[in-house]
Amino acid sequence: MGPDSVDDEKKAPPEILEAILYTVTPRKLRPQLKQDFRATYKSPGQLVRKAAKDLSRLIPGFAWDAFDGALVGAQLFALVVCFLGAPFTVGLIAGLLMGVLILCLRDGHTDPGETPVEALMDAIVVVVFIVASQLFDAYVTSGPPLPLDVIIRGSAAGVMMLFVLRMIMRDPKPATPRETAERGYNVVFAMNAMWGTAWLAIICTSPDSGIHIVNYMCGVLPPVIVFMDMRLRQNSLAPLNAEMPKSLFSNREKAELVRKLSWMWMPKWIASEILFLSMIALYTVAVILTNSAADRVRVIANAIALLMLFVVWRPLRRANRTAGRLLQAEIAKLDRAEAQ
Amino acid sequence: MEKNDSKNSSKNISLGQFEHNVLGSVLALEPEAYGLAIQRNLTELYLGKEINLGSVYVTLERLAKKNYLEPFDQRANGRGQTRRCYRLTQEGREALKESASLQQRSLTRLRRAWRKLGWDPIR
Repeated sequence: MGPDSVDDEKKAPPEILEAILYTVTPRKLRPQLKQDFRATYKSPGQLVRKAAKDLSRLIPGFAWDAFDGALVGAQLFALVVCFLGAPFTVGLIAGLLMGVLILCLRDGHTDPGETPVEALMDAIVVVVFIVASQLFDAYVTSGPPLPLDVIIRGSAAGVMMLFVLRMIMRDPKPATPRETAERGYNVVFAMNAMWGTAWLAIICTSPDSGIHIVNYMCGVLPPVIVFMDMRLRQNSLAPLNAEMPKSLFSNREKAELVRKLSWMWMPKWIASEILFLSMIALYTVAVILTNSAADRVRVIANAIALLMLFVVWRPLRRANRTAGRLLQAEIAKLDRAEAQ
Repeated sequence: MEKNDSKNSSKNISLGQFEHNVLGSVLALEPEAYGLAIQRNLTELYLGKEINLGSVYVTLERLAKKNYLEPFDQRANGRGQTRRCYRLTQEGREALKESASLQQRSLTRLRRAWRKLGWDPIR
């Protein structure tokens, strides 16, 4: 096209430098900037200077365009709540603001949105940064370090809250049916994981009932029921992969979709769900009946939390089915394309 | 009436000076308006003052978000590599026209004021 493209092959930047620049460049512009950097390349030093100059405008510019006041406010609020209990020093406030600033730059870097894995990684990186900056601050100023319980609680809750906020508020808008299906899978998978984590947290913080066999059954049976149902489902989907499509590329695509489909909660029969929920109900009733009045408030609070999980079970089940149907439609589309 | 029309059309269009110049460069370079070419075109316009490539891309993306530009992929020299090029949309053309006319009016007014002072640096 231009004179630049002819120069491409004459001199190319070192691969490692190119890979670093590729990673630092905002996702939307990676191929273009790679070509531009190649076209103007003279020496590694010149490339580093040019990239620093261009990217120092590009990333803040993209961050500014991708700025979402609601998301930034929610993230800052979440971090403040998570680290409550620590003395609010200038160092801590600066650490929290720096954390949010990093997330803003990351918003520009991953514009228009990010995957759940990226959202989780961002949350971890920022929380680790905040904790590390506080420890460093305490070391440098010889002040009291952040209390251990605040670090543990703040880190766990901070990662969880940032992850959820970023996953919900930075979800890229799907453009194609495949993207809609993939997005549906990502969201539903994360919702399943959160439901499972919440259930586990409630069960772990509930006092035992006075009936040993009920405690034992409730500890072992629900995970076994879920695991067995998942295994059965994965086995039933295995023949889908066994069919040999002609093209290797499409085969891989299909295998990936089938793998995702196997993670959706779509049991054929309702038996496993009835068994699972009856176990929880039995355990809750046993705990309420056999615990002393002193523990009742905690027990009833946990029972209400379990009831809330039961209430969201139905929409979650529906969401699993919808995401599953979207994935199935994409698999069928690939099959049709193969047949033609 | 004409005054009202121009009032209405300028209400929706807000182009900064740099955005105006980028749109102008895209129009001049079409159909081969890609980032680096636009940057070089702008550097020429600014009489050799090197324009930051990052600023060019930020502006291009901003204009694409406003629907003034439409990005498309084009093969470079018939080889395998593709380049992301930009072209003006109908809205972009109208915005550029409106912005140019605003600049023209502004310049006319400025000239009139300068002439009153007996000084006209733009000839």
